[in-house]
Amino acid sequence: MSIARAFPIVYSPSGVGASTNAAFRASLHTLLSPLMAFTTITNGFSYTLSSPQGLAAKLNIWDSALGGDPDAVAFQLTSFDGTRVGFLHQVRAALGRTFSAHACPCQLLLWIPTVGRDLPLGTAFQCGIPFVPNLSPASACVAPIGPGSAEECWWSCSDWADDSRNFRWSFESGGAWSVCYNAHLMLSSLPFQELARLRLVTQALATPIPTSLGAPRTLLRLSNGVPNGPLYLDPMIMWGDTPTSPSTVKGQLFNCVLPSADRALDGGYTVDSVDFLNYLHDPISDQSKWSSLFLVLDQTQLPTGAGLGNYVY
Amino acid sequence: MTDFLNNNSFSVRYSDKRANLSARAIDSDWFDGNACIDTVRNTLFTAGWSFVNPLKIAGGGTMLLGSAVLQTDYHRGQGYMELADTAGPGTALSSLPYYINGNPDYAAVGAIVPLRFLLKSAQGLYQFESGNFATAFLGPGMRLGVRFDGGVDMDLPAGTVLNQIRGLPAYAERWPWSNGNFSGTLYFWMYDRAANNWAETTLPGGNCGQVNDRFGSFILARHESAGIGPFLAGVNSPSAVCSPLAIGRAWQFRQPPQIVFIPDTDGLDRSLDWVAQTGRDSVTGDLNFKADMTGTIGNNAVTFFDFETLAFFTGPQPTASGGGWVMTSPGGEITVIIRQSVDPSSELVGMEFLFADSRSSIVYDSFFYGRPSGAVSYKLWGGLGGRIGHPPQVPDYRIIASSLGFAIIDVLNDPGNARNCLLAVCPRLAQEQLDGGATKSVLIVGPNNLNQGMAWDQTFSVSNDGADFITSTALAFTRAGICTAAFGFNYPLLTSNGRTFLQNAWVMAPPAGRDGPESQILGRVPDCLVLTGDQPQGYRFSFDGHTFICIATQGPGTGVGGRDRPVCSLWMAAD
Repeated sequence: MSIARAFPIVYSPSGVGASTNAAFRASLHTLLSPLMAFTTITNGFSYTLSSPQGLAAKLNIWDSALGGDPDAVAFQLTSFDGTRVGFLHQVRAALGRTFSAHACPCQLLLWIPTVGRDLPLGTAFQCGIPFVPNLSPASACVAPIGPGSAEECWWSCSDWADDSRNFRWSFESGGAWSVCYNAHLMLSSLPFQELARLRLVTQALATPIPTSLGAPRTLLRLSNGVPNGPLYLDPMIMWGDTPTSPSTVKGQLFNCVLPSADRALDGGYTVDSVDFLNYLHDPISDQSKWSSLFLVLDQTQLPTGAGLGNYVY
Repeated sequence: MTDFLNNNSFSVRYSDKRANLSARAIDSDWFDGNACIDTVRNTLFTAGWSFVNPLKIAGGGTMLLGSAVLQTDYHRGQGYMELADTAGPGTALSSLPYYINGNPDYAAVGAIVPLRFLLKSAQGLYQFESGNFATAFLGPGMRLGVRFDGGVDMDLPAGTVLNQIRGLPAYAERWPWSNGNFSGTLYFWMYDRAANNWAETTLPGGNCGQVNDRFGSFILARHESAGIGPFLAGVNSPSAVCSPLAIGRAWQFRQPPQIVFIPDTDGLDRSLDWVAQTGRDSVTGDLNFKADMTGTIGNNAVTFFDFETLAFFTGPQPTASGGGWVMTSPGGEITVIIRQSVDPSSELVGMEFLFADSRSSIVYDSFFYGRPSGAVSYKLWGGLGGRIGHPPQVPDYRIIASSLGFAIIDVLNDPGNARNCLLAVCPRLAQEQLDGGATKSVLIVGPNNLNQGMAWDQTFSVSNDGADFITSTALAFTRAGICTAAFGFNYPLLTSNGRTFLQNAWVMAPPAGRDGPESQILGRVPDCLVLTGDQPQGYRFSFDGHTFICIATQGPGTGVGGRDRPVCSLWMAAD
């Protein structure tokens, strides 16, 4: 099994009430507090993300009232000691709004059901500590993934920017993201080159990549079979160590898999007796054909044994 | 049901057997099809491929391959290559010899069992280095036996000569023979690397061309008298017609242009004192030979005799292609004819691969005189000339074979070279357990593709579930290729410390031969993995207990717009 696992998995379909700022934060606390250690901060909580490999970071969630918006809830990752501060994301409460959440001790995905690219902003947020192969004794690593060992590795992404791309509807981040690997911090609010952007790694036929990510790409589906029969790939995540350096793979997301086929947003799928929900659907052009992102809904359905990585690093 | 676990895990799908050999062409303008074809054949054989007898028996049934058995005890070191130590009388010699000692003139020298009742190219006669053979290999008095299994005489068209050991495929020639029709007679071949001009002294017509020291001798011994006298032929001119058995094309051959015809056993013995004794039990039983290797012809030790089932000199024109071997992968997924190919215009000699599909009917006539129906053809050539500052370069082909496919690459990979390479694989089997796909697919990537990229929009063919091959020429849009990480920017996909990734070698091609904008997954290329970095063809690295050789690569190129093609390479286990 090549799904990186971090347990327990909490899937809350439309269970995060967000009618008000306070209700939203309270619902999140109910969801996250059993999974993560936390401390109180002004108007909110600071949660400790901790991966099965021992990596840690902080997720601060509080009522920031940013820009005078009383519905804005701030989400911000920092290093464990708080010295490196990530992008200040906002997710908005609204009357009658409920979010779905998929969380584990080191990862949080937040979204409004059926809402993908649609505005308004402030409807999707993702963050976490990825599985870093070289820290796993069970991985097939042939060399450390980073210089020395990875001591810090975290990322965050949301739609809170004019370029609202995020993992809810794109494999590339847009204008709201931050990453940090071994004290190398990058924020989308600072200048960076395109090749350093936070993104998920998809696969395709080895042909030149179009200038526009919206351009048609070749599907990876099985021939002669059922329509769109996909490959299931590891959701590797990558970014550049500096604003000008090419992205390199830092690891893979926990508790999910990347099918090489277009799937309906929030669609439920069962593969080999494992139930999944599709988190990612790009409605633009053919880009959505690249892949989807399936979340594991029930950890007890996962087979035991086998390795963690689809790739040998 | 989708095999999720199998699908989502990195693993190399190893086949049962693997082998690799170098098959270097000899010079730039004369492709040593013999050496290369033999090497390809031997490598495939070692990887588990078997031979197909293209001949049919009366009624159209499949003609069995013949067999050879030892008539005397065999002990290790007595001269038979790769045979089991315990081989004894009656043991079938199923191994095929290969032995390359580095001497180009002895390239593809057979190190053993010369008894091959199979199609082969004329140039591929096995031979032993003089001195080695008689002294080190085959001991005096060693007896070899030929067993005629299920043989029947062939009813050949008029003007066709079948040189057969009863029931076994031999060679055929449509040239209008002046010496009559030998159909149904019993022959065997003997091959000698004779001295210069040795053959000329016994030429009946004296109309053979010059024989130079690059040529050896070819000896045909006829076991049953047909009233035809001995003859010799040596040809090194494209236009010369010196012997019915040395039709024009012999000029292309480095080794076997001379032929001796011996009318009967007595004549054989008289002419060849190194063959002390021959005998035949009956045409339907065994034929036994006793090889007394103590004699020589002049200063040239006989290299070996070879009971051949030859298929060469095919086609009526001096520049016709032909000969070769028919081989099939262990499961029958791939059937390929490997034969010599001649370009009539340039007279370049190369190696042709004919891949059979469901339409192919590999029968005697169609095989020898034209391509099998339904087959697709790809050719490899020798050096095709150089460019300024780059003299013509001889390809240094290397074949890497497994029981589910093979790749041929030019490890020199010089910019001035033709950069020929070829890949034929069966990328999916039923046991792949993928969702609803074909139970098998055969993908052939033609020359000049692998070393240029990992996606191909020209010269490839694909067949799913044994259906007809669809070639790229019939497809306007669809490409074939390898799946890899979609990361461009002129950079490979690396880990944060610069390490590349190994990925499953998923390969894509037009689904069921349909044209369209998309290729689809056929399966994993057997014995292969994909690396997210580029290395030159022929490079090696060790992984998972195997040596992997780079057979295809693409570096950052000039792609569309600002994002170039992904950097990746395809590696195949060679052992």
